[in-house]
Amino acid sequence: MIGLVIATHASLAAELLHAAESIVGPIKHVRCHSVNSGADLEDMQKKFQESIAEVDCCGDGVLIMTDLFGGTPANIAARFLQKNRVEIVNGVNLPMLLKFSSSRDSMVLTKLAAFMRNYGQKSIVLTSDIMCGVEN
Amino acid sequence: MSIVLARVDNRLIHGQVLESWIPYVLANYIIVIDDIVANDTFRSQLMMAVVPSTLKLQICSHAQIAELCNNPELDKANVMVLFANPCSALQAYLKGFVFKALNLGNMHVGEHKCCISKTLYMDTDDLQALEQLARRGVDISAQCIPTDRVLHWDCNCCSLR
Repeated sequence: MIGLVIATHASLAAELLHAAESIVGPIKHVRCHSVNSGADLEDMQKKFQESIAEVDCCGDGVLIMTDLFGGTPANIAARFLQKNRVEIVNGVNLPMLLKFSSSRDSMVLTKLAAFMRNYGQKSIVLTSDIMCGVEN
Repeated sequence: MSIVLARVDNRLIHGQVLESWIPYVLANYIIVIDDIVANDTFRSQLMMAVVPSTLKLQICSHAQIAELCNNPELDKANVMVLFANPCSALQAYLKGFVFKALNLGNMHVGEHKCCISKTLYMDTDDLQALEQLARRGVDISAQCIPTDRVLHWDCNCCSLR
């Protein structure tokens, strides 16, 4: 089972997980990190390291989901990039988290990471595109 | 027709249904029986749009139930049926859309409704409809998402156990 670390600004990570679990039930082997302004980066890095080790209990690798490419959580996460062990996908959203919980056992880490990126992008839709021609 | 889940959920199709129940019960055909949605083109279209293309969705009013039951497409389908409230479920049952079990998912808080659980609030109409269904042998239980514990509905004391 591929482990998961969600790393975001403020408490978005924990709230995203909370939202996902209210839909699909408990999600195993996941840790959340919030990076607040003023946090000690070296300390954060140590905490990330511990979380990665904790969620990779099966040795199948870890996917880190961050909220913003270029933001502090993503920047710290990037230090852990390691082929076949740690992949990072930036721009996490709720559909990705839901899909992760049902796909984490069905593909290897690199495939899952690419799948998550594509799924997350595809899940952003304009309601007006879908509902064109239908009057409310 | 094989009914893999009959559910009362006032949100009808939403996240819990799409992401949890459909893969859990392996439904490939969703039926929403609801007069309001069936007569609202916008809500119907939106519902059609959110259901994955691998699933069939039919939205019908209570008046269309006889027609629905005769649809040969349903013979081999794994059907999940959704009702907004117990009265709607009872009405469908009495019109011939028969199910053996009924899952109570979400029934929102409202005026004159008493709290049964975190996700279930009922008024006297709801309670009477459930009693009518139970009297006809329908096994009624509450389970919001598949990982929740199943609680059985006891009509005599109007509570879950």
